[in-house]
Amino acid sequence: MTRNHSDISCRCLSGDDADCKLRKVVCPVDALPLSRSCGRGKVKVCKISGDRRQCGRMASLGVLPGTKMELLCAGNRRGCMVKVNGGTLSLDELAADNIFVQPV
Amino acid sequence: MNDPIQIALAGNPNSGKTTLFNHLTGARQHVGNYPGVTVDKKEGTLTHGNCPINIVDLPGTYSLTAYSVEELVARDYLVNERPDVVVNIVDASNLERNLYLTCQFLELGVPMVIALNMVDVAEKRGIRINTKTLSSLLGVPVIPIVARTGKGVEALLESVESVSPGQEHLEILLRYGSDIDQTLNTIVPLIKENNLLTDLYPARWTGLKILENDEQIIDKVMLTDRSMGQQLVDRGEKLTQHLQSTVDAYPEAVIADHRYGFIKSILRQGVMTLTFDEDRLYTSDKIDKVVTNRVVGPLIMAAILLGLYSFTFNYSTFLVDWLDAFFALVSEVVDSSMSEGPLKSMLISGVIDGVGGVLGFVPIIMFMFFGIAVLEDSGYLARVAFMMDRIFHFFGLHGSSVMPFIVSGGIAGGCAVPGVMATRTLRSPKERIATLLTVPFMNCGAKLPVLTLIISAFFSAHQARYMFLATVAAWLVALLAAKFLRMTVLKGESTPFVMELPPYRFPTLRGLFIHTWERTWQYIKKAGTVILGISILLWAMMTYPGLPEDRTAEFDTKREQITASSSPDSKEQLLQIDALQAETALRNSYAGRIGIGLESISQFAGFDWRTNIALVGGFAAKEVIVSTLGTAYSLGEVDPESTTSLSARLAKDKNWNPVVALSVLAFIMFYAPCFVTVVAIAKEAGTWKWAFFSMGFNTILAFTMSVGIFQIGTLLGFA
Repeated sequence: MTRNHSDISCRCLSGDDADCKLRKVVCPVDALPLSRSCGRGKVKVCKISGDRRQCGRMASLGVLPGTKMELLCAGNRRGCMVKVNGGTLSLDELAADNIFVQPV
Repeated sequence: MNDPIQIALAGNPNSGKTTLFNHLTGARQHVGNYPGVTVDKKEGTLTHGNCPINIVDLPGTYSLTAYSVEELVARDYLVNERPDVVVNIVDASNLERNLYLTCQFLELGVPMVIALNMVDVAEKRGIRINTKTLSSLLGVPVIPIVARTGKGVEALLESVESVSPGQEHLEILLRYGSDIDQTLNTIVPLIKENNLLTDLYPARWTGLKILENDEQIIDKVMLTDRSMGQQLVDRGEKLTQHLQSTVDAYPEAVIADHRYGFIKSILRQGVMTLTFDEDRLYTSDKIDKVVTNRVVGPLIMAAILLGLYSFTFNYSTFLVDWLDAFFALVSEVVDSSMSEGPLKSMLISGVIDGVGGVLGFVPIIMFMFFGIAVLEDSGYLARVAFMMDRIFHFFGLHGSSVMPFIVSGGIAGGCAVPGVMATRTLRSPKERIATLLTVPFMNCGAKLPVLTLIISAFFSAHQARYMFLATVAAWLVALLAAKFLRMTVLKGESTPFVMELPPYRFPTLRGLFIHTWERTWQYIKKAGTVILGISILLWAMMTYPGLPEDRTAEFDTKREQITASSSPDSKEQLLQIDALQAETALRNSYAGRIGIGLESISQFAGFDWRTNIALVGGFAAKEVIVSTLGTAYSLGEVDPESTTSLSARLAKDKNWNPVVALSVLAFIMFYAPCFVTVVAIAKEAGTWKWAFFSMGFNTILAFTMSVGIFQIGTLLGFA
């Protein structure tokens, strides 16, 4: 027996729930890696780079393009601590280097 | 009675699975306020009403795509063992992320009950969850619980019984966007037609895992049907290329995005209401801003460590003295009430001096464990991992290596065996092996009494300071060794580190006492069993074969001569003869011969033959060093008036001085891990090669350091 939830799945790499069409999130020119986003406070993820496994790992933790997060312990060429999806994640410099964010 | 129901506790790391497991089964599995405490499945049983239930506590995982060894343990169990009911523990205070795994259970179609844990914490944070709506939207029972207090657990068990075997379960289908859905529509029929793992998983789930590039599932598919498997992988690759070129994302990111979209849509249908501002920083976040600050953070960490050691040594001393006095009294009673012979010698030198020497440190161990339990339960240890991460990367290790180091005795008092097992959270094999090989350098609970003994004998004025220095030295040597290994035999790239930080929690007194007692009891139990056995064995090795008759006769003749001479200092001369005979007998014993045999090498580090015996015994278990020293020095001690402690005996021994003490300290801290740890390394590394390597590498490193300390110290005139 199956139950189809296709009618309520709707969020397409943009964080915009109203638009179900899959589209590329473009990073603006002022986007910086999280590791260099010292003092930025609230930011929005615009791109995640790095190897495939790492991207998958970040995705499972809810860190995706369009996700909003708050820098608790701001990174300045080092690891950082972010509040995202109600939890707190610590990321080292390598992980933070691969997450590009823009100010909200 | 009915057949037992098999249930599995599954959920995100640090969601409270083990707390619930302990509550249900009455077990005392270790819990801690940081992710990754459980790295292997634990089994227990209970009877609810008339219904027997077998429970398995699984390691935490964020996703059913396994990224590390302990996540594989969880997934393999769920898929291969097929429990009757999966109890999905969901942290109510962090609902969105926790429901991501729930979503995957629903897709897998496993019979499930959601235990919405920590509802009390969520309420304090202003989060209200409508469990009825959540349950009807997900199509599975949702039971609010507080695992720490047991609130709601009865209702959970009733729900588990109502869900169990034979019921039909929903297999939820989510939409992942046209590209992925179209590919799934093509590959799922192929999977079904070719019966690819269809006996294990739903076909759509297998298809999704192939698109998510799940290596283990792809390997299984390939093993079943290589050519069809390759076709499916090629379809996945084509989709990946398309998504990369159009949205610059991998399929797993798009799939995750839709799952989170599904979760958000569920939560917005009246499931979750926030009393407070969503963006509000909680107390935990505010504390973190200070405690993990780049400048202040390390200072706070150093102060906490020093404070812990001061607390331990300042407040446990009187209890240590009482225990010393107690064992001295027992020794005196045995001495005065038994006639001379091997049994008396074994009881005094083997049992009381050996095991008593180890048990004498129980108060120190207990105080140290209590302090560590406070740090662990409060959530501070996870912050230590965050702060140490940068340093670890510099030395070629990984952020996930920090917790194994701490578990192994990074704050003095852990154990290398669970530390070695905790390396399962590392996914890079080279970083994992480097961590496996270096965690035994930490000052585990077994080394603690040895360090305390030597420090109190030679550096008693600054015990806390020396213990702090020993901790720093352990970390430094471990990190330098890791750097060396990563630059030579374990060369490779570093991998990124991401860890979820638990919120700070006030430790409960009950929890602290349980944690302290659990570890202390382990120590006492080990002293009363393994250490007792080894102590008696070593006593026998230090007692037999005894002196040959002609040598004994020589000593007897000398005694007779002294007695006949009626010299004023005859009593002292007789004592000297006794001491000489005891030492000669010890030298002639099996253990003595080993110790003397090693002296030709160990003399460069300043170790005498008696110390060598203890160090060889230490390979069985490090505590044995204390018990063996106790036995070795009590066998040589013949003064009937003497009930002095072992540290006092060492301090006045002619072969010991502060330089030798430092040299011995260094050797004990860094030489070959104990036998159990070596076995654990072989098991975790999957080969004995690394286990033998750790024995050889550590011993050579430790000996080199000891020789350096002894030779330089002697040259500078400190000896």
